[in-house]
Amino acid sequence: MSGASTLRLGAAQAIGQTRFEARAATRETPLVKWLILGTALTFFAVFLLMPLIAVFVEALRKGWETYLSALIDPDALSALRLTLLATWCSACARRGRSPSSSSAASTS
Amino acid sequence: MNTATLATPFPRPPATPHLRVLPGFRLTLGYTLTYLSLLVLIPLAAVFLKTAELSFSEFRDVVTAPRVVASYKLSFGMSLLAAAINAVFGLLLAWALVRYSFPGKKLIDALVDLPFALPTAVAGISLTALYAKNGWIGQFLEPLGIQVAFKPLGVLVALVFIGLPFVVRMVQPILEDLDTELEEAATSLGAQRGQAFRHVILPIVFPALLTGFALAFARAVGEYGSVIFIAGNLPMVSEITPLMIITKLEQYDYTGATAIATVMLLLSFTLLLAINGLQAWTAKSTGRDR
Repeated sequence: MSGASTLRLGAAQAIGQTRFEARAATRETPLVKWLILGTALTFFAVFLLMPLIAVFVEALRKGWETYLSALIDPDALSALRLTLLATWCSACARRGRSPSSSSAASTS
Repeated sequence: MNTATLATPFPRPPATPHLRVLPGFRLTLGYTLTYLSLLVLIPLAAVFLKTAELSFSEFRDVVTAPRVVASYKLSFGMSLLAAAINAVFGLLLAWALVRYSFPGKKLIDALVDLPFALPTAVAGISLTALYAKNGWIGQFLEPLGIQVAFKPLGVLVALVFIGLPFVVRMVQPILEDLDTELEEAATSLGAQRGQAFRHVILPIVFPALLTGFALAFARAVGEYGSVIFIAGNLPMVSEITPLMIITKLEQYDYTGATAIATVMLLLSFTLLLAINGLQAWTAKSTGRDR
């Protein structure tokens, strides 16, 4: 019995299902599943992905040369160095306190 | 229940008052308090001390000026609304990331943290570009009569953007740790899928969801960089409280700025305390208090 279910689970993982999708009790009907997935991904696309793409589009609007010249500007480089240094130091100071947030450069 | 009243078969050893189970209590407490004082308590105390330079009537005049009151309403209203929107969609997104397999899942999972790492000023500029009248999203909303950029709605959009990761990252691990057996048991007892969600999953996820809500709210209240670009900053309409503080600072009115900051701190603290109370209450009502 358990051997069979392990086998089924293994097969499910092989075709890329999560353990929740592999069981009847933790599976939604296709309609509900696609509704949740559709809503979540639309929200993600509109609120997170599009602003990110917009940043790159705006940055490269005037071409690579302008972009690179802005990047190798001494002021920009110095600012970049300070940001990375401060982030690294605070991440070290907070290590063990909250591992998930220590890696994120908080930028308010 | 009443284990305390039962007679213990062995007499307790005489209490040793200065010996604790965990060693180094004083050292760790001292370290914690020093660290907390230097980083949090002393700066916060300075806010209150600076405010105390004002007489009470001056303080009242500063913090109840119509422009400032309008900014409280906008800041706290929009922050609560944004946190609520994030609670709903963050839960959906965390659910989709944990429960379903779809192409690009790993990438989306990684990108959820983006608002943490993107400088907020950049986020503000890019959101403004998106939602302006000729922007990618704004051009479709304009014919519908919906204006987002330079309106209070823009504040909401920016606050939703920066708050989303808090909810997703709080809820996701809880959903991942859920045993499939719980729902299987619910189903075998005759629960519909919706009932299993409402009575089995939601009570387990709810405390984390509330924490995510509280964090998203707290971050939204203090947010400055991303909002000022998209809000348009019209007095009485789309000025957030942090902007009022910056305005005072630019006029070298430090006491005025700290007075508004004091009110903001107290309001935020009250709201966070209420959320904490709600959390304790739900933990109690679901019988999982310790």
